[in-house]
Amino acid sequence: MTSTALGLFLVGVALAILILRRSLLASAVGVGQGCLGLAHVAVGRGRVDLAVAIGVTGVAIVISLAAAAVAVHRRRGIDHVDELRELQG
Amino acid sequence: MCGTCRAVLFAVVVVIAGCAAFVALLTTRLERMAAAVGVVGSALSAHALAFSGPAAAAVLLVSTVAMMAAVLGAVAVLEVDARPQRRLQFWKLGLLVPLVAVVVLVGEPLDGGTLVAGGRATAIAVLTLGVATVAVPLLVRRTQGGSPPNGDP
Repeated sequence: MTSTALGLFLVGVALAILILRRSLLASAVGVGQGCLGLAHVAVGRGRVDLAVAIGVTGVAIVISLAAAAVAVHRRRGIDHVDELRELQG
Repeated sequence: MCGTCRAVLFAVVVVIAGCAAFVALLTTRLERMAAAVGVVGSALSAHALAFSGPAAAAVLLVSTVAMMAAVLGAVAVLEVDARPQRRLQFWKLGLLVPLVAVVVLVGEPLDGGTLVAGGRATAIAVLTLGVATVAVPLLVRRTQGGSPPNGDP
């Protein structure tokens, strides 16, 4: 029943999150929600294999974005420490 | 499962998805966004279990758990919870009304036009979102206006 409409609604909300928030982790959440919506559309149309592919791809992208966010945060922290050392001479 | 039960279950999933969209668009905390998406994924999994079978439900549930575990792990590592709270921006909720209207217009023909009950449930969700878009800011403004500026009772 209207799995397509519900999935498209979730994809639209995910797009809104991606547009409105500008952090990597928020992007990861948005991509995750979008992939869930697309997987639900695939399930509703009887394509479980396609849903598996979408889910695996979404998980990979979310893990990559989360790891990138952690790496960027740590890099900025290292830069901050280096700046402090330079200021202290 | 009878037709009425299917319609009720779909309406419950639609309402859960709408509420989670509210939370995900309004909150400034990432763990709440991730929790909202996790709730949506669980509702979708229950919907797939009822209409498509356990394999589809397992796919959605495993995907949801893996995605949100990655996000929540990164949130825990970064400790982004310590950020100061920003003002809520209620205009974001206005995005939901045209979004749902477009989704109904696109989704109904794609589903073959045989989903009258689901279409009604979606229309009810549209009306609920529209009313809440107007009512929630008014209620919050009235509540904030009645208390002293320093927050003391």
